[in-house]
Amino acid sequence: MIPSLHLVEDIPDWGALVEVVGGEHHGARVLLVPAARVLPRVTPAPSRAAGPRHLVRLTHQGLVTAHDSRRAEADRRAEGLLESLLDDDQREQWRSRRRFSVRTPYGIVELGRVSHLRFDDLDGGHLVLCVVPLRSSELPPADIWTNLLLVLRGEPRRFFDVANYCVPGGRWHRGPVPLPHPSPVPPLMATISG
Amino acid sequence: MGTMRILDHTGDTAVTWDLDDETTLRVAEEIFEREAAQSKMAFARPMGAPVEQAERIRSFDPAAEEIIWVRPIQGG
Repeated sequence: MIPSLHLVEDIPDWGALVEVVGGEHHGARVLLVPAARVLPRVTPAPSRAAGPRHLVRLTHQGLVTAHDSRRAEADRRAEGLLESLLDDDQREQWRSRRRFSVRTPYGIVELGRVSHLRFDDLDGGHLVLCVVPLRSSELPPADIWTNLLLVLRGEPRRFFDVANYCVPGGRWHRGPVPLPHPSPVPPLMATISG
Repeated sequence: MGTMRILDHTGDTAVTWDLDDETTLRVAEEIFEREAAQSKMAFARPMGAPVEQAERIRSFDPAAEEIIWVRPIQGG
């Protein structure tokens, strides 16, 4: 394949940031071509308004793409929302272990580990659950826990109805999860100390 | 002023409305209906309050300070 150059960003007065497609130039895949070496109108530059642009910026850690920046911003926003919903104990658990416990009318669910949600029911039983929001791969991780936390708050029965479950190390089963009778005094949500 | 937060790939998208602004109210209500039609679940809470104060709502409440939309769930 013959390498070609893909315009990443034109930087007024500096030149053009280009990506080497199909090869490298002295080990680099992104180059800054000084303005003095860019021939005017050799190839039409894409309009700034046309299509998605893949902006990059250089930092001392290396190349940071706009995609990385957007993802970091999404993660930061999702973390903020999740932490705003947690009480002090849950927030402490989340920050130290990236997991937190949620009390439900049926027992305690630990959120924070995808496909492996520990559930301790009121009768002392212990199961592993797997529940996810639809199209969860689109969401920043903290949003997944915000989603499940709110469902446990408002529709706990639905959570256990759809969850797949297994005893630790055992075979997975489709929901609904076998549940004990709900707590007669349901403090819908509370935390336990980690 | 109320805010609706819809979980998505950006973390969430915020939609705000003002009780004194009919247009923003109408837009917010339309968005509420659109999200509800996708079987998403809405929870209202005082702005920034912990989950204990969040309540499941099924119709648009203009007086809500903050509404958070979450997705339907499924077994993984």
